[in-house]
Amino acid sequence: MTQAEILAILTDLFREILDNPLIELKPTDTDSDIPGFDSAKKVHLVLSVEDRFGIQLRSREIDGLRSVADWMHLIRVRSGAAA
Amino acid sequence: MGPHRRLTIGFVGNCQAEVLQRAFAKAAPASEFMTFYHFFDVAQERRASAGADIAKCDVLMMQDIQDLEAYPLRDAVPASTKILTFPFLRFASPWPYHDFNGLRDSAARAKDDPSLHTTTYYDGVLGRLRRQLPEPEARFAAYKAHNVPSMIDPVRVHDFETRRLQALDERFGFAIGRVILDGFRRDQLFYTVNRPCGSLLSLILDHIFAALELKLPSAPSEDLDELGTIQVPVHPFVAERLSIEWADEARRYRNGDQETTWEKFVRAYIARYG
Repeated sequence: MTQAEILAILTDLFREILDNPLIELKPTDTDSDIPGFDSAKKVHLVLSVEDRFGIQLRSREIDGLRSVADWMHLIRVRSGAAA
Repeated sequence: MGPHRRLTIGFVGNCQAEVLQRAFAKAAPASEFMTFYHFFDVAQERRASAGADIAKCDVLMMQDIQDLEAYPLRDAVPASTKILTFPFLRFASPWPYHDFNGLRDSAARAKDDPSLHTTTYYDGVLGRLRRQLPEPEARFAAYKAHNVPSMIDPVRVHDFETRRLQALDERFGFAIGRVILDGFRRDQLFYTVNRPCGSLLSLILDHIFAALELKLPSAPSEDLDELGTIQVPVHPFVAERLSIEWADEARRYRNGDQETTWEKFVRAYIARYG
């Protein structure tokens, strides 16, 4: 899976969970750049990412997610997806 | 030796931090400590006065709610101020579908003026069902029966919370997460996803006393049990899946100066947001 494909799936998940079809994620986006997102409000997003990519994320890894690029990197590492 | 000077301690965070500051001020000798509280996202018009308070404080007790670097008054904190953190208590398991856990109900939010805090606990699943089942009675029935496609199993949310609370205990070095995980089935430890009961806040206050190397007795739980004025009913299906003993369909919950049940609460939500 390429980085572009991961970003596309991640964008769909953010749109679905945050109930906002207008979200367009960029790797440089941080929590505060994403409308309606908040670092404390990750439960459903993490569970959806785990389901979609068939991975399990650790609490410390989740706490360290600050940007979309962090999400993409963690998904790639955990799923062993090709860059 | 110079004149005795009281230690100034600032509490910064949400409503939990405010309750803790009041309880601290009640428990600690006033001759030794002066305290104040400010909301983390302090309003623009209050930033000057809040910044003046922050500039005077010896110890800043920061609730672990956001990164310190995101604190709007970060630049006002003197380099000499000791910064200590304490946990932000939240627990998604009994309310897995609430907006606070990330499953947003944008249409309901758009109907409210955020400054009025009309409803602070939106329900993401009811938001999705609004589009699938426009008829209110059918929507209520589907939600009650937990008959909603792609609805996440409450057990998975609880597994997430278990991992998160275990990590919280490791990070802060005390067993508040363990207390929650051991007791939530038997006792109503939270009133909403982010409103803990007095006994949990009393443990946080003990943690703050220890961090400040103060030998003070634990505050009575009743002194910190202020957040139960707003309670969100637990879905009976969730209560059953997680074996939450105190939350059945007949349970009555406080909602301001009224009482409500799960059914009454959900029907009112559907009626209000369409």
